[in-house]
Amino acid sequence: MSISRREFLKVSAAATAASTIGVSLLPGMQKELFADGLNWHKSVCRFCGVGCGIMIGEKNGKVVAVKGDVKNTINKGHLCVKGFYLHKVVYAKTRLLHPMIKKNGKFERVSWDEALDYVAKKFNQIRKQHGPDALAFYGSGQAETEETYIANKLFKGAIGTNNMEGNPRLCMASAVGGYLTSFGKDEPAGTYADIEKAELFLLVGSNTAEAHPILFERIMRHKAKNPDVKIIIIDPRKTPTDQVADLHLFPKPGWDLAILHAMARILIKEGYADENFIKQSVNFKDNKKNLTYEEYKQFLEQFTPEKAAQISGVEPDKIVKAARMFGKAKTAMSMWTMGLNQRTRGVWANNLVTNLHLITGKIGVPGSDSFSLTGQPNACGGVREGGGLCHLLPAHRSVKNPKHRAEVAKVWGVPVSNIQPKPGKHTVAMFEALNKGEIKGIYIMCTNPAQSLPNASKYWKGLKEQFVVVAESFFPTATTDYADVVLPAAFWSEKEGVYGCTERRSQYMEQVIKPQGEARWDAFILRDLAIKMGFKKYFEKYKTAEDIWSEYISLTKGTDMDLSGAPYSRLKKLRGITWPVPSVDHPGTYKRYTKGDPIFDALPAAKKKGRRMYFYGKPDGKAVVWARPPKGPEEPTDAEYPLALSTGRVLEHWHTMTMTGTVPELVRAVPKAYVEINPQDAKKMGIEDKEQVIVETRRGKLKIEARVIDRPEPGTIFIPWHWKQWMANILTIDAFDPGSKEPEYKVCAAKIKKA
Amino acid sequence: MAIAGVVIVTQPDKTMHVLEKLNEMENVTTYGVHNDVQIIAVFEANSSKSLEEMSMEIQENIEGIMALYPAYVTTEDELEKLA
Repeated sequence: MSISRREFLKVSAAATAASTIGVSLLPGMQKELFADGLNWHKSVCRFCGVGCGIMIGEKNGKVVAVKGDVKNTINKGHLCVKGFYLHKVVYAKTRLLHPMIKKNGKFERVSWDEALDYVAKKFNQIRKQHGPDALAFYGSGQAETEETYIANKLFKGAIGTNNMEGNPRLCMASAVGGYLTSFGKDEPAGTYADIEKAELFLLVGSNTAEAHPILFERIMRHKAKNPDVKIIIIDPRKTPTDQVADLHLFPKPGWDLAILHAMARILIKEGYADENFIKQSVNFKDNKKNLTYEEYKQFLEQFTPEKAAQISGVEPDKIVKAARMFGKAKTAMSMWTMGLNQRTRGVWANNLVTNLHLITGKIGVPGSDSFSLTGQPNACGGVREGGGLCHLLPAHRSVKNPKHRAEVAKVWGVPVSNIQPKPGKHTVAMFEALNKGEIKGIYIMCTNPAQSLPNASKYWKGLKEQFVVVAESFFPTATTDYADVVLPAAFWSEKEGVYGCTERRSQYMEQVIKPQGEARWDAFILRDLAIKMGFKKYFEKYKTAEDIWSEYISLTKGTDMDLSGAPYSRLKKLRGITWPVPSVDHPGTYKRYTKGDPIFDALPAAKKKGRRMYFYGKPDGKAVVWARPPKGPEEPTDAEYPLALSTGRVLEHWHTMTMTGTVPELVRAVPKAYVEINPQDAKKMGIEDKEQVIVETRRGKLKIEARVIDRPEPGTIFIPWHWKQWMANILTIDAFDPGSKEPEYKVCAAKIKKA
Repeated sequence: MAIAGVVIVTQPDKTMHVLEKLNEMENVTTYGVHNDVQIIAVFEANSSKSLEEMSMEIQENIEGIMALYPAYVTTEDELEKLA
C-alpha cells in the first residue's frame, strides 16, 4: 500500500473517530475523504440488540471496511469490538456456499431445486401422515422481520401449525411477560433517549459493559459529564460494569426478588412514593386477587432489610442505601437482561423492578423508565413484534383471539380455519416433542439450538432421529451436525431488510454485495419451499423484500405498535424510527402511554381525566404493581452440589460463535472457555489458577480450565457459554418459567473437582 | 495493513498520563484530548493481528483507560486477497 493511501486512511480513521464525539478535526473534509474508492452503505450491526448503526465500506463488490454510523442516534458512530470485525465474518472460511443433503451419513452438494424438492416432499409426507402439528419451525432473533414474517405465514397460515418458535424464547420471553402483566402491552415505554436524562441507573442482572458496550459507553459518558449521576448494580458477579458503579449488591444467584420488595417497602415507608401517581395510574395484585394499596403495604412488611438480607445474602444496609438512592434521584432508569429473564421466576423479577418505577412515578417522564435490554438484533422486531412465537401473530396479536386470526388470515389470503386457535409448543416443549417423535420434521433458521438449548445434550436425540432442515450462513455448527438438509443463507450485507431493536426502533439495512456462493435470502428460500409444497397462490406475490415489509406494516395499522408510517421509502432515508408511527409524517414516539404517544393523544379527554399516564393495554388504564412471592431458583445449592453455576457472555464473543469464531482476532482475544472460581472457594478445594477441573451438575460434566478470580462471589461459579468444545449448556437446567416458558440458564447447582 | 480510528475514554485524573503513554508508542498517532476525557487516536499495524495485539497491550498496560471504542477500521488489503 502506498504511503499516500496509508496517510489518507489514517486521516479518515481519525476524522471518523472525532466525528463520533462531536469533534471536527478537519472541518469540511470528511465528505471528500470518504469519496475516494469506497462506497458507503447504511446498515445495522448484526450482533446484540442495541441496534448500532454501521456504515459498510464496499469496493469492487467486496466489503472492505466498516465504520460507526455517525448519523445513527443510538451509537453516534461508535462500535464495540465485535462490530469492529463484522466485515470479516462475511468472508469466513466457514460460510455455507451451496445446498447439501445428507446421504449415507455424509453431506453431498445438490442443486437448490433438488434440495427444496426433497424438503417439500418430506414435509408434505409428514403433514399427510401425521398432521400439521408433526411439523415445526424454530427461528431466530437475528433473522430479519421479513424472513420471520414469511416463516410465520408458511407454518401458521399455510401448513396450519402453531409450532413456530424462535430463540428469543430463550432470552427475552420473561421481559415480554413482565411488560404484559405490568403494563398490558409489550416492550418498553421509553427509549435510549432517557439515558442522557437519568440521574440514577439501576442495572439488574446485566453486564452492560460486555453485553451491551455501546449503551454502557453512553451511560459512562453521561456520568462523566454529570458526576452526581449514580449507578447501582444488583448482580451476583463482579463484572467490568463495576468500574462505574457507586453501589453493588451481590445477591445469591436467583434470590434477588426479596431485595426488590425490600426496596419497595423502604421507598413507601420513607416517603419516596408518588402517592398521586399511584392513585391515578396503579392497581395492586398478588397471584390470586386484586389488592388495595394498604394490603400491598402489609404484604411488603415481611420484607424488612434484615429479612431480605437473610434471603438474598446482601447486607441490609446496602439494601437500604440502594432504596434511598433510587428514591432521592429525581429520575431513574432500570436496565436488565438475562440475569432477570433467564429464570424460573423471570416474569416476577421483571414485575418487581417495574414496581419500583410505578411506586415512585419514575416512569413516563424523560430520564425515567423500566427498560429491558435485548440480546439479539431483531428479537424485538422480528419475533416479538412480527409474532414469531407459538402463541403470537403479527403486530402483538394472539392466536387465541378469533378477531386477530381473522385479521391476519385476511391479509395473508388464507382460510381463517388454517390458523389454529391453540398455541403451539414453546421451545422446550418443541424439542421435547422432537425427542418423543411427536414432531417429525423441523425447519431451523439462523440459529444453533443443539448448542444453545439448556440441558442441550438431552435434546440431541430428537435432532438425530427426526427430519431436520437447517438454513444457515455457516457450516458446520453443532446443529448442522444433526441436519438432513442444509440450505445456505445470505448473510448481513448480502440482503436487505429491517431490524427492530430494544428501543422500538425499526431500521432498514441495504443489500451491499451479492451473497457468497449459492447462498440465498431466507425469505425467498421459504417462499420457494412454500410454492413447492403446494402453496403457490399464497406466496407467489412476494417478489421483493419491500413486498413483504409493506404487507407486514399493513397488519400493524391501528395496533399499539403501528408501523404503517414506516414504509421502505421512508426507512431508507432515516436512521430508524420508534413506533407507534401511524403516518408517514409522524416523527415516531419517544414515550408511550403519555402525551406525545399518538394512542394516548387520541384517547377521549374524559378517559384520561388529567392523568399523566394511561396504560391503554389495561381495561382501566392502570398499570399493576405485583406482590409476587420471593421464590428462589428451581435447583438451589445443597450439600451434594454446593455451588451456584451461572453462564453468560464475554465482550469478544457472541452466542455460539458461528460468527465471532470466524474472526481470528476475536478468537485469539478469548481463545477458550473457563470457569471463574472465587479465590476463597479455590483455596478450600485446592484448585490453582489455570488448572483443569471438572464442573458437574445433575445433567452433565465439563472438563474446563479454572480461572481463580474474585469476579464471582464465594459459593458461585461462572462459565461463558460460547464454545462448542466447552459446551456450558450440557450443564444448565431446562426448567422454565411457567408464564414465559423461558429456561433458567442463570442458575443451577454444581460442584467442582480437579480433573 | 490495518488501521483503526478509536476514541479512548480515560479516568478524568489520568487523561494526560494516558496521552503521554500513547504518544510514546510506535504506530500510534493521537489527535488531541476532547471533552476532557476522550482521546482520539489512530493505530497502525502490519496486520489485523498486530492491531489487535496493540489494542490489548494499550488497554492492559496503560493505567487510566476506562474503555476503547473503535469508530473506523480497515483491513482493506487483507480482504482484497480474499474470495
